[in-house]
Amino acid sequence: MVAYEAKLMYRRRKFYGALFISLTPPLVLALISCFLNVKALILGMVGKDLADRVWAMFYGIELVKPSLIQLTGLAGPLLTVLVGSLTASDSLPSEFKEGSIILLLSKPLSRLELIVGKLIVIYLALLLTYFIGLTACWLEACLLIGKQGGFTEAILTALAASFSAFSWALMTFAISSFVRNSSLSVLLTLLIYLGGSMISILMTLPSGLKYPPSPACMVRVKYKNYLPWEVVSNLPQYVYEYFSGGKVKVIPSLSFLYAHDPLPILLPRYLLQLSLTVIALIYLSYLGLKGDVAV
Amino acid sequence: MEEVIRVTKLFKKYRRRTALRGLSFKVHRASIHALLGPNGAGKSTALKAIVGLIKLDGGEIEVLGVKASEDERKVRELIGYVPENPPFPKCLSAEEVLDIYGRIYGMSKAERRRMIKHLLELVGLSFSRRVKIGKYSKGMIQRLALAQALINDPPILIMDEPTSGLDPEWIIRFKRLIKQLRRDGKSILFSSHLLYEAKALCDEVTVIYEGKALFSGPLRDFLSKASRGITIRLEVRPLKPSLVDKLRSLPFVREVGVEGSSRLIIEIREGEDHRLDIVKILYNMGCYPLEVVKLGPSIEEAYLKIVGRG
Repeated sequence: MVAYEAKLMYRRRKFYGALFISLTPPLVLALISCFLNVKALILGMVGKDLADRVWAMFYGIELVKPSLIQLTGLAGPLLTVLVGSLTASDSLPSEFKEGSIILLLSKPLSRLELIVGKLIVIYLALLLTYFIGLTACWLEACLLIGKQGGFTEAILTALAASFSAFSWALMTFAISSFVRNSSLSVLLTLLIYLGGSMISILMTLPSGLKYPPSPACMVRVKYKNYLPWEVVSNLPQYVYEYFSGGKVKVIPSLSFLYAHDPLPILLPRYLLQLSLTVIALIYLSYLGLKGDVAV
Repeated sequence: MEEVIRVTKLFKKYRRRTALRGLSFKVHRASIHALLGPNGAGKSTALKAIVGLIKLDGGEIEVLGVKASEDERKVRELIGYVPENPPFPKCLSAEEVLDIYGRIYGMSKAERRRMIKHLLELVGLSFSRRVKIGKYSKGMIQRLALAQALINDPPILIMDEPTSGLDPEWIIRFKRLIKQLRRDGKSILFSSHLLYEAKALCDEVTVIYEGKALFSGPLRDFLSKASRGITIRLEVRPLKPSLVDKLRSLPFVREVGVEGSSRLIIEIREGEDHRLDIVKILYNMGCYPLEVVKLGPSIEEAYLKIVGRG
C-alpha cells in the first residue's frame, strides 16, 4: 500500500502544488535576502563610494529585513495547515473519483491497512517538504544575519512542523473519507483551523493541535527577537532543550502551557496526546470508509 | 460437482431501493456461470457483495468453504475480480499497476515479474506495458482488468460485464481465454445482459430479476424451459403456396412461417423429430429441400419465459 501511494503521490500534480505553496515563501525570501546582500558584492566590485551611493537608494530595505523574517514566521502556521491539508486532501477522493478504490478493496487489503498505508506516505511527503522548506529558511537566516544557529535546529524544526502538518493532514483525510471531495475537505479543514474554538472542543487534550503554531526549535535561527519560522509542535523543542543541557530555552510567553513542567512529565504526556489524536482521526477515517464502496 | 461459491438468501437494501431480496445460487468447480437479468436486477450488487465491496443486510456467502462473514480477507484471496468499467489510476502504467497488486498479495519480486510478463502477453498488452493507463482505450483497460484479476492465479474469477468495450476480435479472443481458464480448472462467474454471449460461454445460468433468482441451474435445463417443441428451418425450391398450406394442416406442426422466396420456419409440437416426414411431403409435392436444419431452443425465449414476459 505504501509503494502504491508513494507512486501515486509523485505522479499526481496535487503534491507538487503543496510543495510549491510550502516552498515558495522561504525560497522567495531567500532570494530577497540575496538581493539585500548585494551591497557586499557591489562593495567588493566598485569600491566604497559608488557602492554607498547606489546602496543609499535601497537603504530603506535594511529596515525591512526583520519584517521579512517575521513575515515568513507568520506564513508558517497557515502554510502548515495548507500543506498538510493539500497533501492529504486528494488521497482518498481521487481513489473514489477514478474508482480505483474498487480494485484496491477487492484485494485482500483491509480498509484500515489502506488508510494507514496512505497516511505513512502523506507523513513522509510532509517531512520531505518541511525538510526542504526549513533548509531554505535556514539558508535565508544565514544570508540575512549570518550563521546564527546550527543545521540541527532546522531539521528538528522540520520534524516539528511535519508533526503539526500531519495532524492537519489527518484531519483533512478524515473529512475527505466522508465528503469524498478534495476541495471541500480542504475548505472544511481551514474553517476548523480558523475557528479555534471548534478545534478546542474537538480536541481538548493535545495542545500541539489546539495551538499548532507555537514557537520552538527555531529560537536559535533568529534575527534578534524575530523568528523566521514558527514551529508547531512542542516535542522536538523539549527534546532539543533536554539534549542541549538547557542552553536553548522555550520562550515562556508563547509556550505557556507546558513551559514550567519538566521533560520527563512533558514527553509522555505529549506522546500520549499525539497518539490519542492520531488514533481518533484514523478511526474517524475508517468510519468514513467503512460503508459500501460506491463510486 | 463441488460447489466453489454458495450464495444463500442475500439481502441488500440501499436508501430507497431494495437491490437483493433473498438471492441464492451456487457456482460449481471448473464451470462458467452467467448471471443474467435486466439492468437494475441486482447482478452487479450480487458480485460486489461476494467480493466484499458492499455490506449485506442479510444472507451468507461461502467461497471454497470459507464464510465471508468470518474471513473476508481469505475470500478475497480466492477471487479475482473484474469490475464493470474497470477503474485504474490513470497516472500509472499497466506494469506498475500489476506490480502493486502483486505486492498486495505478498508475491515475491521474481514471482511478480514472471506473472506480469505472462499476463501482459496473455491479454496482448506487452507493447503498452509502460504507457500510462490514461492513454489506454476502453478495450485495453478491460484487458488489463482481466490481467490484474489473474495476478495471483486465483481459483475463482468474477467478472461484471466482461466484454463491454472490447472490439470484435478481442471479444472472440476473450471468450477463448475464458474457456481456456475453465479448462485450467478455474471457476468463472460473470454477469451479462447479452444473452447470446451467455449461451456461447456458460455451463450454468442464474436469472436475477428484482433481486431474486428466478432460475439457477445448468444451461441445458434453462434452455429446455423455452422448448415448446422443435424448430426446423427449410430451404425449398420451388416454394409453392400449396406446400405451405399442406404443412400447416399437419397435426404435428404448430406453425409455419415463410421467409423470403424459399425459406420456411416450421415449429413442431412437442414430441418426436418429424424432419423425415416433412421431407417426404416435399418430394411428393414436387419440391426439393436444399437445406434442412433443426434449430435449438433459443436463450432469448427461455429468458423471456422465465422472467414472465414470454
